[in-house]
Amino acid sequence: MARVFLENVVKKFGKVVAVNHVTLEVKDKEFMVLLGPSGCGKSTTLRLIAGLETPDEGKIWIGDRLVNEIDPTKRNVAMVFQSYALYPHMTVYRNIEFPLKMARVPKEERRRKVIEVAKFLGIEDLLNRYPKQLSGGQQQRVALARAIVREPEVFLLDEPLSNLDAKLRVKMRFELRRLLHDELQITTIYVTHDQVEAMTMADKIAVMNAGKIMQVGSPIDVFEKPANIFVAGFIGVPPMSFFEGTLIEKQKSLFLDLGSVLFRIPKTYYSALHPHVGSEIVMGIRPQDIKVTLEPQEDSYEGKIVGYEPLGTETYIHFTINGTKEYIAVIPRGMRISLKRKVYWKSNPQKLYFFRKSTGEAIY
Amino acid sequence: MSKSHLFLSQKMKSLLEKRKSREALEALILISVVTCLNMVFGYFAAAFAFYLSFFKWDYIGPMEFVGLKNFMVIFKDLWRGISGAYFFQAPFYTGLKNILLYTAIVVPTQTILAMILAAFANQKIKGVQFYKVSYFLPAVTSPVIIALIFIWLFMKQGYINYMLQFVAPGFAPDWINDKSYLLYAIALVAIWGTSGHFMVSFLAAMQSIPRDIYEAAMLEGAGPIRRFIYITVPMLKPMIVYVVVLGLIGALQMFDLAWVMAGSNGGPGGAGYTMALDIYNEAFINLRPGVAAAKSIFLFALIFSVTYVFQKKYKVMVR
Repeated sequence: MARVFLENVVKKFGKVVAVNHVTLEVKDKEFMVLLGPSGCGKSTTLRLIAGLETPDEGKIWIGDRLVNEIDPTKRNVAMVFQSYALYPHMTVYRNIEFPLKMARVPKEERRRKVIEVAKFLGIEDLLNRYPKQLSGGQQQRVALARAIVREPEVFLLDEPLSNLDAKLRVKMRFELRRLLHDELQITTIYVTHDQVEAMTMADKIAVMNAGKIMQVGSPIDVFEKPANIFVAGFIGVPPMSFFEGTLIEKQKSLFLDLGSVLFRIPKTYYSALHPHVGSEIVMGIRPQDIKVTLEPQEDSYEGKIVGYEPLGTETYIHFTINGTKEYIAVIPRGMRISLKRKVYWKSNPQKLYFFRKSTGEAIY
Repeated sequence: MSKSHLFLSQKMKSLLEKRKSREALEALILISVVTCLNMVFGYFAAAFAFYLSFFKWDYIGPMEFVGLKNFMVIFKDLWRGISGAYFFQAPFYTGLKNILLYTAIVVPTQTILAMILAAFANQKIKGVQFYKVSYFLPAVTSPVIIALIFIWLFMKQGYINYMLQFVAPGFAPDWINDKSYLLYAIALVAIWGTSGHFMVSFLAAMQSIPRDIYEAAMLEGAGPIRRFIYITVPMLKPMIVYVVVLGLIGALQMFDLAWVMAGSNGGPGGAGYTMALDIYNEAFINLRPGVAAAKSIFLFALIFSVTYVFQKKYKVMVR
């Protein structure tokens, strides 16, 4: 088991900077998820740790070893690929045995370990099959078995659930976490663009965008205390609604001037926001924290429904307040809504987020 | 559905059908050209050769049915050869013996060499395109030209012997005029000429192997040689079968190189004599087209059996 440390790592492909001065520490036995949209550099970061890419700048440490110059064959990291990368010409047994064979483990010991791991993952009945004879879930277990059989120092997973159907993905999500974190306690770095996976599996999440790390923290931290607009908008389903406007002060109260609406900011935020009076800021509200009613209430604002998505247990509604920008709110099922209907919304005063419009950094 | 909609959809359907039938007609016309050529120069020629093998003929006079006599000529030749007769008493046997040895040398060597060349050409190194073109160049050069160049190179005072004196001093055989070396010289030229061609096939197959499979093997501790042995070679199996089968077909009916390097009589002691040369001699020197046809059928049966058995045994699709 080992700590992984990336120090100021840069990776360029031509003029494109895929990984831009990334510094990241993954502690021993920690389950770290690299989360971000496609092309944000998370897979490249993983490949840099694996040794499949060479950094242009910076240092990568695995345990006590600086691994920049160490060949991937000698890094003692295991990786599960998005495609699983099983050897199609080998049976499941041979696939799992392969890393042990490469490590020149004696035949009898190889056999014992393969069977042990296969039993552990519940695939002992599949040992004589070829990968093409397996379902997606079974292939994934084989890929996992192949990765854990040689007890690597670090376990790398590159979107391993993305080829599975939704139901199986939920099941495997839970199983993976239990296997790698709770039972094997291997340092794991897991790449995904699915924030639900990240939130449910990670000890820590590193949110990435455009090659940079936006925030590192526990799932609750990145959800509750997003460091910037990107993290706030990326984490959470449906995404946070952002209200842009100028912060103004009237009679010792702060307001966000949204053009047609003057939004009264609760007193709680006064001291944090006061230095920004007169500047353009962005207020974020999670859709779950926007209460929508059909009749006006105290401190509520008028809006118009422009679309809705019924999900069964609840409904997402898209509404506007001045006809241009759309916001999302979650309403309970059974509420009578229709397109273009006038509604009234108000926010949970404890759950507001404020960001600088110029830099996107969080103010509160 | 309204009447106008129904009418429109029927009209569209008939238009589509018309277009389909027109496409089918165009396809038939294009295919028929090749089919006709194939019928005349392929199937008809093969059928006529089969027919001819039961007749005695001198190209001018009437054809005389002789039953299996032409085949008896072959078996007597083979029997004489097995009994130890000289080359001129058993030319077909000599041709068969030579071509089997030649095939045993050329096919495995060209296959392995082509695979190794493809593995090099598949690397991301500078100037790789130059090497690819260099390897492939012999494939687009006439075998006759290649053979002529190599006759020069293989001469007693030629360049190959000049180079050999640095590697194996004192070893300077007369490649073309010594019966112990002639077949090996021809085999070397064939290997040089065909490996580049098959390299391209292997290169295409190698490039279709997913990169992440190599990366997975790399992370599991497999270095370049072990990746080649455990990943590349097994995953190239369908292509290896294809290359070996094509190699077998090409080698067993080798004519041009032997014709140029050894001559129609097969060179010293018939060392470069092949079955295809013998068939040619029967047909155009001895003027026994019936016997030539019978020998062609023997050669066909040999090629068919060898390639069939090989394919049956090894053609297991892995992907």
